[in-house]
Amino acid sequence: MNSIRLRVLAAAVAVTVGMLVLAGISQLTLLYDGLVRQLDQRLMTAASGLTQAFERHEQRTEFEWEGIDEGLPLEFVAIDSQGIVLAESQGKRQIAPDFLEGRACDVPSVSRMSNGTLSDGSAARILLLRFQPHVEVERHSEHDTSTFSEPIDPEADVRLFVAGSFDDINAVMQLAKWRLAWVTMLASGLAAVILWPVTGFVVRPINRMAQQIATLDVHRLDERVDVSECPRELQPVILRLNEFITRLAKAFEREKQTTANIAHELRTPLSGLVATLELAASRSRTAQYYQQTITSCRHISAELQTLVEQILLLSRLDAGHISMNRQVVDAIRMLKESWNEVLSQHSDTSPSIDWNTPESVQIEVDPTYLRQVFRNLLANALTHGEPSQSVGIFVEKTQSGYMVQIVNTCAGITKDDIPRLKERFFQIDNNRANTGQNAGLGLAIADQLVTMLDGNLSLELVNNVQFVATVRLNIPEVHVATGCCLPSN
Amino acid sequence: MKILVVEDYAPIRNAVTESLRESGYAVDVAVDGEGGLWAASTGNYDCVVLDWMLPKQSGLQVLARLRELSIAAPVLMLTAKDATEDRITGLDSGADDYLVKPFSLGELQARVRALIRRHYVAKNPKIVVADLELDTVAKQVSRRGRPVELSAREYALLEYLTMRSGEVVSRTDIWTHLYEMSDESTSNVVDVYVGYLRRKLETGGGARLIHTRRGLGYVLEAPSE
Repeated sequence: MNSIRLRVLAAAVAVTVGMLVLAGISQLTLLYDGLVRQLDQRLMTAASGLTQAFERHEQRTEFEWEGIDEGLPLEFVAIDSQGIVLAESQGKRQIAPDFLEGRACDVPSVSRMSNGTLSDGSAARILLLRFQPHVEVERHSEHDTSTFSEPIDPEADVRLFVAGSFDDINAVMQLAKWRLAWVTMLASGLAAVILWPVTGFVVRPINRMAQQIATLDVHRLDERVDVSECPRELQPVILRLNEFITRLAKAFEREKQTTANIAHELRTPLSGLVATLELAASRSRTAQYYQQTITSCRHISAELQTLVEQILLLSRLDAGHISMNRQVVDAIRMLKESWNEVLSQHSDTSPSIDWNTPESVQIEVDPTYLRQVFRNLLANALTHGEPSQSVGIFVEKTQSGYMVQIVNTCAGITKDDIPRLKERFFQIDNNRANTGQNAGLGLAIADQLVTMLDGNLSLELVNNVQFVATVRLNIPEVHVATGCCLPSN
Repeated sequence: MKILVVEDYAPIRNAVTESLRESGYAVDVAVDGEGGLWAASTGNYDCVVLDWMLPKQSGLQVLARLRELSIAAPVLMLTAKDATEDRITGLDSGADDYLVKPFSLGELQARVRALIRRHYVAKNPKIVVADLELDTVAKQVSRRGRPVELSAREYALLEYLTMRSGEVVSRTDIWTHLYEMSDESTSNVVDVYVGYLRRKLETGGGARLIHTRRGLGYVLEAPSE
């Protein structure tokens, strides 16, 4: 049942029915008790009449049927102290002998009610009574006022059992139960009909909230659902929803910013390409001019390609669509090759290099991605370092693998920049518009790649002078047999 | 007319500079914000083509500083930022026009021309002084309906004088508006080109339009009746 309204309705109807059933059971109990009490009363009255019909005469007890309504819907049996039946009702049913056995001698002097069965097996209410029958005394004259006291003879006690069947009570109770069932069913239907609009009132705030939420879209993520207007029970939901919208808005803002950054980084080289080609096509040129134009365009295209590849790599990293091709490589050799490669691309700088590494470190890793990490970190050191700086490269073994540190004198990096250095498109010089190799993606890519290679990248500024990039790889050294040929990549 | 191009991205800088030079403008170049500010505040430019994202100082910072220094040269902002807020920021900072990358060189030149005309309060691209007509778009000159063939330098000189027709313009002023910083020629060359211009404009019996004001400079105006 997915509808809150239906749930509320079902709960309300269930409660109503439950209450009705409880009330009905209570009524039935009261009715039953009343009927039993009424039956007891009838039994008592009948018993009282029957006791008057017994007479003690000459050591014998006799029952006088005169005045006894034979059509009385009660069964009785009277037994003397010897167990001899003195009288019993004349109906088809009698008190079950099982009931009488054992109780005949145990009838109290005070009347007692008990439940038992009749000879046809039906349940009955039975009054047990022991009494001294009436003694007939002869008076000698009309004026004889002398009192006569018959001595109490325990042998004269009569045990009287008067039974009234439960049939009538059961019939009434059965009828009452059916009526109660019908009333309950009718009340349930009525409750459903009446409670339907009431439940509508209950869920109205939910509908109002739904309408308010429906107005939210990606263009209105600065708006929030008003918590003050919603019911207290819904407030936690709305608060969570508002928090979710805040996170969503931030995600959209990040995406928007990333898209703007990508567009910005692509536009500048694209504009250069368009302008260069337009200028070449604006009039007839020499072959040498066209040759220069082609060279220039190829250079711009290479920048664009680098940028696009970086964006695509980030996209694949985000999507987790990177497959690892682990091979045993010499990390030191790879570092040196990467350094030479990066140095050739930064011909305007002339740094000195301080190598502090083992001769060789064999690790099993994806060479393409590790090389990309080294290239990005080294390019970063050259781009943001002083032109005639010293770049230090340190490699040492750690407990879990290897640590690679690249240290350079920083130019323009402040402590405030450190936490943002791994952000995409973050550039130290906000005004810088260099494209391709320096779009603010290098450290972001390196960070994600190192994480993927089971390591971590930390960046720190030491004494506001030295910028230290530390790569910790949790990759143990591989011991390779001498003479084995290693892939160099 | 002299234009300053401040752009750090070499392919754009080279293409814009070359294109403007081919259209007869004298073009100076700066590669970062600091250099651009120095050039714009020391040179006398008819238009500044200024990139927004520059090393050292942003285009906006350069622009703000130029306006603080009361340098009124029209500024055309070049930027990859195309959001409405960015355009508003650029124009509010004192830019006269805004061009989003990637752009067409033709559009850039048209905007530069418009800015220069606006700077000299000449709304019509065709400037007419007496019987002289100068088409700033087609770069063509005619007198009494007959075309006058001019070199790029002569055209630039005539355009500058017609833009400021009725005003006395000093030799230095003319020189600074027609020659690039790197040009080693002196202001005397202005006299030579004025002589060339007069000769070409007066061919066919036209009245003199460019008059010398001794010790002051030259003025282009309609001959008095």
